[in-house]
Amino acid sequence: MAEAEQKEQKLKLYANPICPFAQRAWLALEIKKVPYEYVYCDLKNKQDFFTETYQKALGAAEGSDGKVPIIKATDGKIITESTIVARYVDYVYSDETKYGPPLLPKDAFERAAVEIMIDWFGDSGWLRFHYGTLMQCDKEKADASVVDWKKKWGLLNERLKQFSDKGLYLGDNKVSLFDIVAYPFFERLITIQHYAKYEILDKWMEEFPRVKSWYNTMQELEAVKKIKQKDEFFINGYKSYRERGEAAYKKEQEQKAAAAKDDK
Amino acid sequence: MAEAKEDQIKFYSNKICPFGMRAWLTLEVKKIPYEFIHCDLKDKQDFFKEAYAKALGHAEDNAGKVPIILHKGKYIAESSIVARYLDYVFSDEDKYGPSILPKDAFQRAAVEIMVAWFGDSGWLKFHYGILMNANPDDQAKSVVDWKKKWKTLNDRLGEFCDKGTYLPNNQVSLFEICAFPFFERLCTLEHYCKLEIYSKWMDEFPRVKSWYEALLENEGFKKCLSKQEFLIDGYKGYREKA
Repeated sequence: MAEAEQKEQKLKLYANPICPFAQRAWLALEIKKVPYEYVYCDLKNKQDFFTETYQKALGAAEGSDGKVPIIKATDGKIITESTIVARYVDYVYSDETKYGPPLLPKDAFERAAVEIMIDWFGDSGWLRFHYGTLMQCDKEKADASVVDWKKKWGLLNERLKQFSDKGLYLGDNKVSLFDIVAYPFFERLITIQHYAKYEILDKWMEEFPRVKSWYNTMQELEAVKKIKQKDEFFINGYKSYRERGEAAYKKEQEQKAAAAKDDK
Repeated sequence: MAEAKEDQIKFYSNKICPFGMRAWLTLEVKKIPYEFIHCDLKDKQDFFKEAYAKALGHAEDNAGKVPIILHKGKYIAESSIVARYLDYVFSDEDKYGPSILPKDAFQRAAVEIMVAWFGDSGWLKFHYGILMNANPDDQAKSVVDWKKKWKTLNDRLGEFCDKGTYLPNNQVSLFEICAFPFFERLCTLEHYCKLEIYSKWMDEFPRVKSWYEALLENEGFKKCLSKQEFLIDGYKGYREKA
């Protein structure tokens, strides 16, 4: 088969390295060593191929012109939504001799436990705390939010002990869909550390040793190391989020000052 | 071959609960043998609280929620997870019928998308929000916003076929299991909020109507339906809070 044809047959991943959701799909592909072609999508200036592909994608949000990740499977089917893409990859590339163990374990109880963790992570409001802390320039409000977020860290710390007291959720290096779904946000904690000045990666993590063990184990995975971005890349990439937070804070302060003036 | 006693499902639930119904529907649709153990949600029995405390997935800050199942000595909570677990374990198609997560990878992804969309759409917040808010202006606004979601659902249901279940051939999927219980309980909104949902409202969304009516005819679903009076009475407490 000609090389051009071979390229055509490869799975295409439409993504952007800044995006934690895209990283879920990217990790799934790398961990399972699925051959793929990475198609870079500009999130600020969306290229036509990006928006056109998104429009055709199963799961496309009605109110969006383009989100990553998207995959175009070898049979031409186009699918979006990060967790669904990861599930799809895991389901289709199921030959263990080629692609390794599944991200949803074979054991029914372990499988249920992984599903529980995925749902819990989503329902816990983790992302709201993550982005909220990144963007909150009012120190008092940020500190209060951190108190609440740390409660979730505490719950995560306990839940991670289900199968093992160290390593990934299932123990050791046994990667599951939960690890893939959660990890990208931990890789971006450096942005909160940088902009909001919380020592998350050292002092804070020390308070949650089981989480720390999970995080460190993820960082040692070949696939994770391969696609990891530099701290500076994330810090730069999330600058605009912080700036939005600063603008909101400034507006709040101005409104407060105006209100105080009216009261006099 | 007689199944080991340990293999039988003990199902802890309460017929009023839509989350409990997700697990119940799965059991009935797949004809999985089980024992229904009624749990009092107002006056939680000790056996209920003990089962919940041991259950995989139990919420740290809650004394007891349904559904819970006990299988092979392990307790598992959380409605969607219980449904997935049952589907995965009882996978012999000759005995239990087709899986609620289809074999075809694209259809399977589509079902997962619908399940996730239903959760993220805020459907439940609209449902309970309208039930529990007696302010007519708030209700009117919520209805307008909720109907946008109904429209999306109406469109998305058209992915594979133009009537019946989401998947072709009236094949029940995890999406039907997750969503249907809330549609059964629309009678409480009809009653308390004076909304003609099953008639006028559903006529605006014919694909949804077709979906709902197909499920009312499903043998497994029929086994789990409650009388409207039971549901209306059961949700009185929610309305009274309004």
